[in-house]
Amino acid sequence: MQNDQQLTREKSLEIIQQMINQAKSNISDNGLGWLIWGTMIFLSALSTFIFIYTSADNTFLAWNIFGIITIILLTYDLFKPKQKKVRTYIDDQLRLVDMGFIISLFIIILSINISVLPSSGFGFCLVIFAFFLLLKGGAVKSRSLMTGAAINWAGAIAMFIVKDFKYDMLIMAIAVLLGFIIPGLILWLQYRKQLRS
Amino acid sequence: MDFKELDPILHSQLRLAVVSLLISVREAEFTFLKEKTNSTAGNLSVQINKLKDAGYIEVTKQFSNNYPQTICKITKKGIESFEDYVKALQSYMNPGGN
Repeated sequence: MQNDQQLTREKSLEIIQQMINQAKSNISDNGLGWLIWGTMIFLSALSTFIFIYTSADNTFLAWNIFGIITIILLTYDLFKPKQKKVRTYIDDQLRLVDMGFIISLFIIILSINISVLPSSGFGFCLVIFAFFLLLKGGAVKSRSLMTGAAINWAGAIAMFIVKDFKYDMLIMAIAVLLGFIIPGLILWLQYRKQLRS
Repeated sequence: MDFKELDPILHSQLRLAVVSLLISVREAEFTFLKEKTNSTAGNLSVQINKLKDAGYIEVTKQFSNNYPQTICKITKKGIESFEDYVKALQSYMNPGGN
């Protein structure tokens, strides 16, 4: 963009519109977060189903490992230097959403360890996941994430109806596969395509 | 006809582009502005200084991972000037209206 070209009024409005659109297009998601977290939750839920089905010891081993990895990843994320080129107003709102999501999830996990039945507690996890998917999907205008929200809500209802905890874990694995991993893959492929173009 | 005068600080392609971008975001790094306006570093630097001298933007220089970073943010005066500029443009587009 040159600065010394004569600027007409129409050109001024065109520049304003273009730049506002450019700024809006910067709100995006590369899908990696959904892929990583989705895969971890999927493997934990599926492992738990297999452990219960095969009457293995340490039913919650996978979830305990998941918990330790989560603490490590969150701590790293908290302290790693941030290198964002731009900070939008939506970024600030989404940071609050992230914080609310993590705190709520920890309280649900704590409640499972104190008094809440695992089948109910994990069902509420899917409810929180769905809410998070909806908010994030809306912010980046991702239909696949918002569809993922609906799938997770449906999964939560199914978990409350099904009385057998091992099938609850299977439902959770399927809900996360369809609600996190597949949308994450779609976003990641879109992001890669954008980088190449 | 009620034509309002166009602010000469904003009535310039690159400076208008920078302010339009900063209106939409909370703050932006120099490289982001350069990328989105498709301008050269030298030219952008000159225009940013003009906007800063006019009080339309704030410029903060800091280091991130040992790399220098220039962060730009629009000021209240910048927002008001931009709004006046848009109204002035509209007065030209719609000369019979209010």
